[in-house]
Amino acid sequence: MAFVNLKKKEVQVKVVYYGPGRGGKTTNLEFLFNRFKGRIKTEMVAIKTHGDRTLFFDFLPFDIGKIKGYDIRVQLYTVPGQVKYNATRRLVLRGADGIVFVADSMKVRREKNLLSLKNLQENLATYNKNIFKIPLVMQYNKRDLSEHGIPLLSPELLKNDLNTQLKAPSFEASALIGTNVVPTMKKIITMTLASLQRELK
Amino acid sequence: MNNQEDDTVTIEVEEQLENVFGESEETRDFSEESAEFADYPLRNLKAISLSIDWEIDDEIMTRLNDEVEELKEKYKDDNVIVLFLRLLGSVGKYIKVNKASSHPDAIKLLNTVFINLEKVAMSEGMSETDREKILLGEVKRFKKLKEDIAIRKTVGAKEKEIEVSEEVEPMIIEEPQEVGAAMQEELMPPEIEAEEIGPLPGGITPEISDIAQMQPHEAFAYALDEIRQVIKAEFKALRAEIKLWREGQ
Repeated sequence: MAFVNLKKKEVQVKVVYYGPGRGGKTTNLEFLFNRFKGRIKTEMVAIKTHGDRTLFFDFLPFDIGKIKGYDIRVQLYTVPGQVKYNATRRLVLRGADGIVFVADSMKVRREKNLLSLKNLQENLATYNKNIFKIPLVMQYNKRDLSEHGIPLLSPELLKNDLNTQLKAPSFEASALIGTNVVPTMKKIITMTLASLQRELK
Repeated sequence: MNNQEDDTVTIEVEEQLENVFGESEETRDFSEESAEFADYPLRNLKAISLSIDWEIDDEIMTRLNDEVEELKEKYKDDNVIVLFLRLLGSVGKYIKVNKASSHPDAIKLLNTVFINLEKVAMSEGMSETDREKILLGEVKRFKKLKEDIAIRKTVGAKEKEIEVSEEVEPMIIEEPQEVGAAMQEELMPPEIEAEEIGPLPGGITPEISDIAQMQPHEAFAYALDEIRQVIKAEFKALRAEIKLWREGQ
């Protein structure tokens, strides 16, 4: 649940970028930070391993101004995608108000996407949260690789694998070059705040 | 809250987001695979090299090996390309054996060898000298990696002597021949002297189902242990690199 300070009229929401390892979660945040650091005036915190992988999480906080008289502060997090870091992943997921599932479009990563989505559902369940009810946006990342002859899963197949039941808004994206990174982020924030508004009523 | 209120919030949020993040959206239609790649000879190898990361599995590494062997046959008359492929095959074998415990630079080397192989294979009219120069650069990187791995192994062995540990971290790549000689005799593919080890240095990775059964405080303790193990491995690698750097001074 988001942190709401009624006295100070502040709301803090937490959005977690989830998905398989090497799928582009950190790249999403890096793109946002590099593109908008002049406007958001905050720092991105990234804890990486020797091999340039996310060890604990990446963290990018920023303010988006007033909504209904409340100052809105958004915190974007990524989880470590590698299977072995599930305990860490579950901790980062605690208190999440919205999720972006970053799926890897590469054909060879099809099973990893499925496992990661299942893992998300299980981890949310430990916090009594339902994957069908929490604000969720699907991002089919690495679409630019098609131009380099890399075999990719079609958007239809990705949708069939991951989003048939969830029916979450989805974006074909390339976090590396920034395509649809901002719309993904805007969508999840809008959905999360609308959901929060409903909960608070 | 009714739908009208919901819509009002949505409109307000969208306006605020536009103020902060507007006028910077990258929009682009992703084309299907371009025709020029349809007959691209390194297409499969490129896809495999992009697929290899820390979550390496036997299937992808076997595919790498098979593709390398196939391309060796295809380019058997081009010695430089064959040598590039041998480098790829050797590093691939090392990564296959050591998986997530591979030296991080091994994955980087795999990528740079492929990028330069692509450059050499696809640049028509590149002089033989330039091609050999690019190859030499990769062989140097390969040798540097081999040295780093040897140091890592030595440091690991010393630590284990102190810790009286029973575990072994075998990470040796057999040294390739110099390229000059290799141009004449072919680069010998380095063999791997290694046995598979677990995914966490010195640690035991529980099944996901086990973690799911944990209480929050247990999960937190496990997460801390994960971090401790990785930091330990990071320092170990760092010490090895500092030692190598000092030796190079």
